[in-house]
Amino acid sequence: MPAYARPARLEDALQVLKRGNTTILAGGTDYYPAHADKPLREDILDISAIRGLRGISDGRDHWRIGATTTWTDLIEAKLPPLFDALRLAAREVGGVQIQNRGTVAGNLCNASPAADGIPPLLALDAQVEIASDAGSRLIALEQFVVGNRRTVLGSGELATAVIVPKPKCNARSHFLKLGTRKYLVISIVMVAATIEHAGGKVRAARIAVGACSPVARRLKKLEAALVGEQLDAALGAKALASHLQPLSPIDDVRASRGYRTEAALALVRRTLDQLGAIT
Amino acid sequence: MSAPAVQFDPSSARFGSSRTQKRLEDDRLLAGNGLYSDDRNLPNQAWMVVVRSPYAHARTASVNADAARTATGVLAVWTSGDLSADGVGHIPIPPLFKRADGSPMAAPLRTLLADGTALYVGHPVAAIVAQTQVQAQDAAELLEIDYEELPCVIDPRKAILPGAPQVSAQAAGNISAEQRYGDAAAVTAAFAQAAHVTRLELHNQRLIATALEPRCALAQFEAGRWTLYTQTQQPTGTRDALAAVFNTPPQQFRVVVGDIGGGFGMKTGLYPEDALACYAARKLGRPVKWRADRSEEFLATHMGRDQHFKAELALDPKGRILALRMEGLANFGSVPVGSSAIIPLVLGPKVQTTVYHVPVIDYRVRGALTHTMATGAYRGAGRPEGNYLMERLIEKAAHEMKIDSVELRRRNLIQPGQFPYRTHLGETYDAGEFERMLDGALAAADWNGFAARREEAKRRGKLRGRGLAVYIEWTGALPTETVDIRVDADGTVTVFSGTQAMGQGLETSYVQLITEVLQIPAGKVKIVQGDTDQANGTGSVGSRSAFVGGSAIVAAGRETIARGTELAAQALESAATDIEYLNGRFRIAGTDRSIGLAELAARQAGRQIRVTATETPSSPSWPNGAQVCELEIDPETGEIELVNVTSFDDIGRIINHMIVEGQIHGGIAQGVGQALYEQAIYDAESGQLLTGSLMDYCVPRADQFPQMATHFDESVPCRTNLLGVKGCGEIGTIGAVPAVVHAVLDALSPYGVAHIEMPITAEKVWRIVAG
Amino acid sequence: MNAVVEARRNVRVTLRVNGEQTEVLFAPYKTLLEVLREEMNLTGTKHGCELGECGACAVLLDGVPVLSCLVLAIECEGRSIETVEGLARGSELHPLQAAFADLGGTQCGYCTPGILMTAKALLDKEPDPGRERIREAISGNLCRCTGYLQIYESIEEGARRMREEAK
Repeated sequence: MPAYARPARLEDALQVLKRGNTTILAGGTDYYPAHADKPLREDILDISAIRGLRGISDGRDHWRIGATTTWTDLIEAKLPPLFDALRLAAREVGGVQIQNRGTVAGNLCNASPAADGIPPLLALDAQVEIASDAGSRLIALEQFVVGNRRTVLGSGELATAVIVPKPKCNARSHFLKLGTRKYLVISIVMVAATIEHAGGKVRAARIAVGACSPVARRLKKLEAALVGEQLDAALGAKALASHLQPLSPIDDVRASRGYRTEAALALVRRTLDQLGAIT
Repeated sequence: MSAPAVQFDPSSARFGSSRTQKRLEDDRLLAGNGLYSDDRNLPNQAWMVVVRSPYAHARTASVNADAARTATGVLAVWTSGDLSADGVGHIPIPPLFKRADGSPMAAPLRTLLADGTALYVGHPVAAIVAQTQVQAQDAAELLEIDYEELPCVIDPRKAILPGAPQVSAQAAGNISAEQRYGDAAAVTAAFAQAAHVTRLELHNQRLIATALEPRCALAQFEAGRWTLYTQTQQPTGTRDALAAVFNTPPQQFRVVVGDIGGGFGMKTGLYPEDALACYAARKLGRPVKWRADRSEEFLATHMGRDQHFKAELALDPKGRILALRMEGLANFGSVPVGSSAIIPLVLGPKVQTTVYHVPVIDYRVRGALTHTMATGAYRGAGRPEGNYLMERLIEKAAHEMKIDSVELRRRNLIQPGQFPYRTHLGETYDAGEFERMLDGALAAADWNGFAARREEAKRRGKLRGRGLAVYIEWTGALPTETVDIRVDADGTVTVFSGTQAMGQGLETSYVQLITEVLQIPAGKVKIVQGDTDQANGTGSVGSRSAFVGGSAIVAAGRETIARGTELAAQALESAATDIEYLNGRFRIAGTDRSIGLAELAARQAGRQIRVTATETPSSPSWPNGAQVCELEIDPETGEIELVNVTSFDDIGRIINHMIVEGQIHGGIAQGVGQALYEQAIYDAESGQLLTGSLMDYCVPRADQFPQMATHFDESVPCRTNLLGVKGCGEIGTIGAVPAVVHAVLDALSPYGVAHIEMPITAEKVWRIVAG
Repeated sequence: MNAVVEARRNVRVTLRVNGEQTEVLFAPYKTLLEVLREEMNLTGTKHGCELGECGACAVLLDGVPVLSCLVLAIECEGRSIETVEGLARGSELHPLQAAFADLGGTQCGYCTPGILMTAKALLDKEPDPGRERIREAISGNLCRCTGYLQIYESIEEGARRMREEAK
């Protein structure tokens, strides 16, 4: 029979982790489906009771989303328009029951190519805070997820928060997703974009596409091309097929490579149009 | 030509229809007090798990069960050899069909466990029973099966080609059965005269019923007799099939069914797991329970549809149909179930010419074996396929001939003066007002106001489309049902019916009928179904329950009054002809001398009155109607948004409006699912089911659903049963499939597309728009 | 539960279900769904997929809907659990249940408990939600029988009755 630990203190959790071969569980919404019809075999570290890990705090130059903050917590939090993309993504993670349990950080650690949270957080330039017995470190989300369901987390390490830096100018973000259905579906394409702007012009842009590569990718050439552009409802026209070069969509039962590519471009353009149109 | 006997009785048709009745099932279902099969447990029960083939086609070269047998808590591990050594047989299928050469339908025997060769992914290979479910699951992982993988074939069009992997040595060329209808020579002659021929090939893709309740079986063997608690639409059929498997009289089995969490045709017949649980209960001398997990439900409950058609429609210069020539190829799967063959070979053909006058037809249909799960009954069972093909043909013909598609339909509809109407395939329609349904649907959907809505959508960058379908349904399979009624001394009237409720509110409809016949309050009535020791019959399939079962209930109610009248005459020392019945009392007409039903029962031997009535409607019924769908397409992504579906149906007399509306809505939902979202996909090479979860098999969710408006015309009662009802369980599905597809094609009309295969995903739409 | 609690054997936990405290003994890997059904005989909550994909097992945990197949029961110690069995007031149906009965919101009844609990949580929080909010709220609950329309209408009517009651 596996061991089950549900500590209330982070230090205790890190001690449990040190012994290795332990699965970290927060909301459990990805864990159980992966273990369908099989009795649990590994030891489990349930982090849902750890004090101080849940909730969003506003720091001087960043926001901190604690590791056990649920999608519902995020939806209901008072956050600026910068978070619109993440909030929109949150509303489409599973159904409400999943949103009530699933955590933002858990979505990153599970690292599915179709994880809803990753593109908006990439577009927020988010970092992941990692704790271990040896101390704590920060790593950019882009470096945190290294492949299909793989992260840099070593044994003995626990993701404790997602850090979102505050942008230098006004910023807003948007998110669009294409799937067979809206809820409880594996997405075909997801696009998230953040635009920082001043004086009616784009000062910085971050655009990420999910479900079109093993790990969601930023479109950095497009981001660079947008800087200095006029903010209007035709902003999307700046996005070109060549900007999608970082993507490597697959053919599968849900969609073909060609459709994913075209749909990604259409969604990128639409996302930018909608961001440009807001005045 | 002889018309079927008219049995419709206007005085019966009032039963149940005169008031609204809330569902009697709801007090328990809404409070969480329903009793579904998985809600039952028995003391000392053991758990069974079924080990399934991970391959589509493989010889089980050897099985090493040593580790599994000695694992903690394990009570037994069985493979096919153990069962045959104990004389356990196979699940029979009806011997109704033949191959082209006249030999009987050929298919592998449906043994409870694969007999040396696994023939589809999910084929049961071994059964393990342990003290607990977890122990049985653990032991399953210790079972060592050495599979020798063999080549497989998934697509029936490939299965019938020379050199394809063979499913069964008996079925050469993988053809299991074949049927021909019509008059090929007459059709050839008609085509020679045709001004226009419309040709179409299409696929009714494979679907999975996805009842929300997974199957579950709990078997007990006591005093030489089995009790099986399960979920089936056909308790008596399940009992009889068990008797065949175990080669015992049916009376050795009692099949008990409580609430069912959705059937849709998928819970018909006996499943191997039910029989395995019975085997285990006898072998181990203790109750044994099995419950499918969702993945097993996807892999190993029979699926629906999967029929390919090639058709040609010959028309005269005015667009009047001269002849239909068509060829069907149905995918039976590898191990056909009882309903696999009858759907494409019989039920589809029954409605193939639908509401149109088609003078001659040439119809050939074959059933092929492939290394996939069997197909069988699923909502509509053959009629959606037939109607979809006919509606697609007529719509395509209208476009090709540049005739308005509504007008082309009108020119071909069977007219009221033509009833009783005999189709070229030999079916007789008793009555119908097809054009009135068409007009009703067009008016209700504001068909003529569409142009403005399309313009408005265009301003928003959307492509709006409208689609029409006119259709016919056939109901009343196996048109005999027997009902027993028992009146007890306390006045309780118990009605025993062999039909089976599965969520369609049958208990309520039946109570409405019997309370009105007997003029007693609903609280005095008990409906007993789902216990083969108490009631037997065909069960609930093919929208027959109200039509056949309901008629039998009214007949039994009348028999109760007739028998009661005789008994009352004796009790009141009067002539039976002087006795009148009112509100539960028998009275000598014109006097105050009377006796109540309860009191009369109390005076009889055994303190009860028992009557039996058998009712056999003289022919099937033909519900029909028209549906209109409107939707919008986002041309950049291909995404489709349903706006609304409007139905206008003649389902005969209605017993309970709320229930009937729910049936139509649910039917439409499953039709929309087929048109736009759902498809069971097997990998062509490996035979793995690629859509084996609710994430990949897209059952419509709440956010995908449009407004639905249902309308009914009750003025054309069915003339071949007492009640004038026609059946409503499947008609919504039949209409929605073509209506939705036509709406998509209409929205895409600027792009000149002639046909799109279902499900019409965003990607398929996008491909057309993107050119 | 504080500090580190490890359990390699069955645990004895006090659960508060529908307002009643009960001590239950179960293996630590058991989900809330399994404990409700198997250990407490509360079978109103349904097994649908055990993968978090169908919503049939939805219950309220501290007032919010969760999928009981994805929650370990051990985690629920000291928290409020509400199931469909707790909805009616004695023999009188909750207004939401009554609306379902009046408007055909249930057919086979298998998805109904999960939908009722999810809808109740919505209406407790938002007494007058529009159709879009209702759609969104129950999108995690599959129904194969109704086509959802009568469910929407039932929830809207239930909301109206609950508002009446609150006046």
